[in-house]
Amino acid sequence: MKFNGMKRRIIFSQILTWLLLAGLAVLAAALPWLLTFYVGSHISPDSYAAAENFGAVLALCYCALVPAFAADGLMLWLLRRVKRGLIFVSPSAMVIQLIAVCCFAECAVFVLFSMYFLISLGIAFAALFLGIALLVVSDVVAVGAEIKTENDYTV
Amino acid sequence: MIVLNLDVMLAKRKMSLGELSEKVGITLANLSILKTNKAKAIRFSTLDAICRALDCEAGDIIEYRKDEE
Repeated sequence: MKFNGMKRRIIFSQILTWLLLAGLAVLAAALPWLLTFYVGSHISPDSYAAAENFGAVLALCYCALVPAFAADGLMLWLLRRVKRGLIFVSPSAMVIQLIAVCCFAECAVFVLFSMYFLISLGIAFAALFLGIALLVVSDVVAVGAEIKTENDYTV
Repeated sequence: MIVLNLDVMLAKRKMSLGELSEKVGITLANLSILKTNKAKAIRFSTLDAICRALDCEAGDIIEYRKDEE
């Protein structure tokens, strides 16, 4: 990589992404116990609805983890390519689009969650917003890739 | 479409791509891009250097061919 100052930032991003992956793995393993604790403690009125539909809520929780794992893996792949200087290329734009699709999938899951926890609608909106923002970023990267190809093939 | 006839001119002047590369100061890789018609654009300075080295007109290097429908 030409710009060594950026390398530290990319390594920092990679560390954060790996930590996120580890956190998701721990969450996936501990989810049944966490949900049981939440339901049993009756922290909020929503916990009663969750208690009655424990299986469905647990299934939805695991459904929410799938796009999260996928997005995290894609981010790690993207950061590896960015570290090698492969930024404005078509595959990078496609990967950002895929991460946007993961955000939309999360939005859909959290909309379903709102049947039990109304606050999930807020998280669904945030996921939708992030997905749209990433679609715009992927368009920017795709156009950048075209301009780069044009410049690379200008003699 | 625009077609570059660099290989034709090189053959006429009995010059290799390497020799042209040394004369014009452009890398062999970039000249290969020109020769194989993969180039998206060519700078006037590059065209000037190639015409000077091959002692030819710009029209000898660049040709317009109608796209076959």
